[in-house]
Amino acid sequence: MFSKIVAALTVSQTNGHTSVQGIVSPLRSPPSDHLLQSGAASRWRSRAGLGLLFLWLGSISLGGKSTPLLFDHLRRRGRLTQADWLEGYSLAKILPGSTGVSGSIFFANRFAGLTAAPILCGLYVLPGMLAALALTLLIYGGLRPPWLEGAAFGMSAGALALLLATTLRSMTTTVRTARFGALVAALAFVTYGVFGLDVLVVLITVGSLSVLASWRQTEAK
Amino acid sequence: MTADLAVLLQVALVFAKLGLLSFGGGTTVLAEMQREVVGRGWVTHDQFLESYALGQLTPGPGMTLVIPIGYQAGGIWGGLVAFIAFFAPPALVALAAVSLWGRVRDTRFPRILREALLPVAAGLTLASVYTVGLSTSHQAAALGITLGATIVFMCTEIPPPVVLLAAGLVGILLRLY
Repeated sequence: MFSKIVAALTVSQTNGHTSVQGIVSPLRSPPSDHLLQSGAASRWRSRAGLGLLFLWLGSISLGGKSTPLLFDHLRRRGRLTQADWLEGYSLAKILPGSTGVSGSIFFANRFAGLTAAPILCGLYVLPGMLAALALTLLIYGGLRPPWLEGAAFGMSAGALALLLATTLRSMTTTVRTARFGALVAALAFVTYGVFGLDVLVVLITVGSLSVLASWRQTEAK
Repeated sequence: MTADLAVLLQVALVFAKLGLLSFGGGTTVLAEMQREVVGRGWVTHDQFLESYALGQLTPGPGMTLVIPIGYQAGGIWGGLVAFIAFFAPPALVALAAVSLWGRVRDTRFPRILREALLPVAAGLTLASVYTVGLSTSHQAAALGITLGATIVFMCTEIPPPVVLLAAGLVGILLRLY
């Protein structure tokens, strides 16, 4: 199934340019009717293939690991270089919202243009939305038998563990990466978690301080 | 019907705000989300954590927890409105950013912003764990499952949904026997 999708992706057209495995070259002469027809068919197949790819990636990425999976699949299939991968991931990390959504828009734009990006992003989030809706109806749609109560109790405790483990990992990276990382993280924690300040206030105050510190650090370098 | 529309509007506004403020990933606004949705009486503290668990069991973005929360506030439409409100505004921001990206990608600004946001996001996420952890059940069984699952997450590469399902199984056994 996946090899068919990838085969459909190997030839694609974007904005009048023919793209083969990421190499873009302009069309040199006006195409004949036959070529126009086959070009349109090829473009349609390519778009359909991209749509299937984003739908498939949105279906297989379980447990909040969607972003690395999305990026890594595209990179390993030769659709992206390592530099593209880093660029997309960096951009997604500085934008608000889910990293997967921002990343999918970045890569969708690169492959199919800005107008197709929202559609491809929609296809990427669709399986998760439908699955969440189905699980919600199962759990909250009617009376809950004792076994379902027990399952919810156990999974909630497990979810807290997942949140804790993810945070501990990201804290380690943060302290290693930024010079003022530990101090800024501690400040954000105290203001937001202990004092219960609004997240907007914390972003404006602590976020600005962090930008300033990072800016000065770059200047010093 | 009017009341329903009022609830849906509230759901839309709350989740759109949270979506637009979630720099560094959705988990950074979990504490704020809990304050907002529990404070409005849409869900209890325990239901909030249940919703988070449910979000981790579904494919795609982890923040699909907004669907069960929205559902409990305003039915199926509430779930759909919460989902669209949480994901659509940041997606529009991303579209705008992608179209402008070519002009700033080679400047130092993106790197500065990324380095600056990373520790803020980590602190916000830690605060979310703290806030959510404080407000949930402190039964010995729950603490035991959390501790065991944390060790599994930290020391192994077992996929999170498998660990969550195992934790659910332990919960069933505890409840039935």
